[in-house]
Amino acid sequence: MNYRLRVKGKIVEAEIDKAADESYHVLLGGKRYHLSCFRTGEFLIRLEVDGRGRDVCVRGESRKDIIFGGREYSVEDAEKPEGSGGSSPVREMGESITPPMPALVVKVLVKENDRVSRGDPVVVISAMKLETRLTAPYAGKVTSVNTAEGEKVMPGDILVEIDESIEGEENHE
Amino acid sequence: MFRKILIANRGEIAVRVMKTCREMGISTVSVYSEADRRALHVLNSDQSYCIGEADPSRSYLSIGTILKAARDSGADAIHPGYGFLAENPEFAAACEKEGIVFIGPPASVIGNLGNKREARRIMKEGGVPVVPGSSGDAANPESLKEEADNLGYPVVIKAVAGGGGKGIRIVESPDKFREAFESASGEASASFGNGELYCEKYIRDPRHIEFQVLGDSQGNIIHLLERECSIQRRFQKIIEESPSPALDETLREEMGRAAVRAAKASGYRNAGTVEFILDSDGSYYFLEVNTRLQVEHPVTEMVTGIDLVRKQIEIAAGEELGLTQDEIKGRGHAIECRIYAEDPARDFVPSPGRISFLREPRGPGIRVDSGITGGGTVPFEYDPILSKLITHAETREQNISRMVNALKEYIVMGVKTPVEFLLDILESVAFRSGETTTGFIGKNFSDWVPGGDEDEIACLAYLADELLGRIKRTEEGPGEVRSPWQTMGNWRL
Repeated sequence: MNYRLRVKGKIVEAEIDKAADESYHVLLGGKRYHLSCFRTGEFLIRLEVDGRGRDVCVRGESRKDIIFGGREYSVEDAEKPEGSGGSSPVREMGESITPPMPALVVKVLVKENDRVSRGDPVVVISAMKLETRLTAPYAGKVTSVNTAEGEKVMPGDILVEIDESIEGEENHE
Repeated sequence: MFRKILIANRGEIAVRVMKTCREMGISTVSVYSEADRRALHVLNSDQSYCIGEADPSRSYLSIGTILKAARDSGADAIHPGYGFLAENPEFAAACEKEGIVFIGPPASVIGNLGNKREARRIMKEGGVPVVPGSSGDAANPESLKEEADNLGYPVVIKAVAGGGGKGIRIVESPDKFREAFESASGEASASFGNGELYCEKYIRDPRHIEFQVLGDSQGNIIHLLERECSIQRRFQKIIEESPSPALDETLREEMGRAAVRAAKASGYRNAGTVEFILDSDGSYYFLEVNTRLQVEHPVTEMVTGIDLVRKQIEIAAGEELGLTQDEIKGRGHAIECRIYAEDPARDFVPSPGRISFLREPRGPGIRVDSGITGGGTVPFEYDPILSKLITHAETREQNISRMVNALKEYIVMGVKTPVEFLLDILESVAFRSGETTTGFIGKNFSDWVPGGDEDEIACLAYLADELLGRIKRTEEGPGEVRSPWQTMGNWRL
C-alpha cells in the first residue's frame, strides 16, 4: 500500500507491507520502520515503532491532526489539494481573515493590490483586552480591504480578501 | 451555615466553587448566558438560571438579573468567583442591601482597594513599603511630571482606576512624559471611564510575589504563604509556583508580616491577595490588593492543604478563622500552568471552537481544575481559560518533571492550546534555575515557534490510523464485546 503524505510543507512517500503478527514494514521517506499499532480509545492509538511504544491521538480523514508528547502535528494526503479535508472547523475559520471574536480594528496593514506571503500580518485587532494580528493564510494579492481603523467587527466578517497567487506556495517554509 | 449559594460566574472557577459547596452539603445555583446553556458549570449545579445573552454586559455583568436569580432561587449567599463582578463594589453593596451574603470583603473595602491611589495611601499609612510614587493631583500633567522628575526616571504611569494592563506607560526620559500622559489617560478613560493617573518609579525586571491572606469577621488575619507569578505574557500570568525560588525564610516572614499589615490597614475580611514586586536587591514594594479569590489559588491549596473556598464560605457565614499563623506551614512545591484556548503558533490568538477530544492528565500530585468537557464548545465571548493544571511534589525539581509529564499527557483537540509553549518554558534552563522575573518570556521566548521535530512519527501515526480504520471495517477488533444481537443466531417465536 502506498501513500504520499504532506507534513510541514514537505512531501513524504510511504510504502506499507504487511509483516508477521499484525505488524507492518514501512518504508517512509527512504527509511525503514517496523510498525505495530492498536486502538486504545476513541482517537487514541498505541504505536510501536521499532520496538519503542508511544501513545498518539489522531483525528481526521484525508488531513489528520496528530498529538503526542505534548506536541501537535498536521499530516495530510498529498494526493488531495492542500487545505482540503480538514477535520476542525476552527481550521476553516483560520483560512479566511476574520476575527475569532467580536473585536475592534486597531490598524489595517495592507491595501488593495499589495502582494503578501503566507503568515504576513494584515490586520491588527483588539479584543478581550489583547491586541492580536490576523495573518495571511496563504500567499497572494490583496483584492479587497473591507474594514477600516476603528471599526467593530464580528466573527464571519471577511476583513481582507486575498487572491491566491498563481505560482502557488507548495513547498513554502 | 448557608443552605444555598449562587455562583455568579462560569467556567472552571464556577465548577471548582461548586465542588466545595457540595462537599459542605450546600445547594448550588448557577447562572448562564445563552452561549453557556450546556456548559459544565450549569450541568454541575442543582438549579440554574439563564441570565441573558452571550455578551457579558448583558449577562454575567448584569447585577439586577443575577440578584433576581438569587431571590427566585432562595439563595442565601453569592460567591462571585474571579473577574466579572467579583471586585465590583456596587454588586457587593447590592447584595448586602438585599440581605444576601456576598462571599468576599465588605463593599467599602473593595471600593477603597480598587482605587489604586487610595490603596497606596492606605498602605503608606499602615507602614507597608510602596513603590516610590506620586501622591498629588491625578489629572494635571504638569504637576505629575514634576513629581516624576523628583522620583527619577524611568517611571511608569498608571491609571488610578486601572487593571488588566490598561492605561500603563513606561516613560524612560522627561521629554517623553507628556505624550505618555495623553496616551495613558485616553486609554484609561476608554477602559475605566476615568482618565486619572499616578506614577511610580519603574522597577526593571522584578519578580512578582503575592501573598494569600485570610481574615475573619473577628479581626483575625493571617497569611498563607506566597505565590511567585513572574512568568507573564502581556501582563497575563501563565505559570505560578510556590514556594518562590527567590525567598529565603527571613524574607518570607518579613513579606508575610507586611502582607498581614496591609490587610489589617485596609480592614480586610475574607480571602484576598497582597501583591508585591521584588527587586533584584531584595527590596520589596506593595503593588496592589486583589479583593477576590484568584485564578492561581490552587497553588496555595496544594502547599498548605487548606481549601480556600471552604474558608471563604465559613468566614462569610460568621465563623472564626480557626487557624493561627504558626500553624501555617508549607509542604513541598506546587506549580500551576494555565491552559488557555489560544494558538501559540499564531501569536496566541484566541482559539474558540468545539472540543472534539479531551483527555486530562491524572496521577499522584496532579490536579486539573477544568471548565470544559469533550464535545463542549469554547465560546469566543469570554476569557478563553479552559482549565488549570496544577502539580505538587516534594521538591521543585521533582515537581518540574511531574508538570512536564502531565503536560505531555494533556490532549485537547478542536481548539489550540499553549501546551507546547508551556513545555518549552518548563524544560528551559532559565526556568529550572529559578530565574523567573517578569521579563522572562521577553528575554527567553520572544521568538518562540513550535518545535515538534518528530515528523516521521507523525506520519507513522497517520498511517496507523488509516490501517486501523481499514481493519475495523473488515473484522472485529480485540476486546470488542459482541452484543447478543450478533450472537443470537437464528430463532423464532
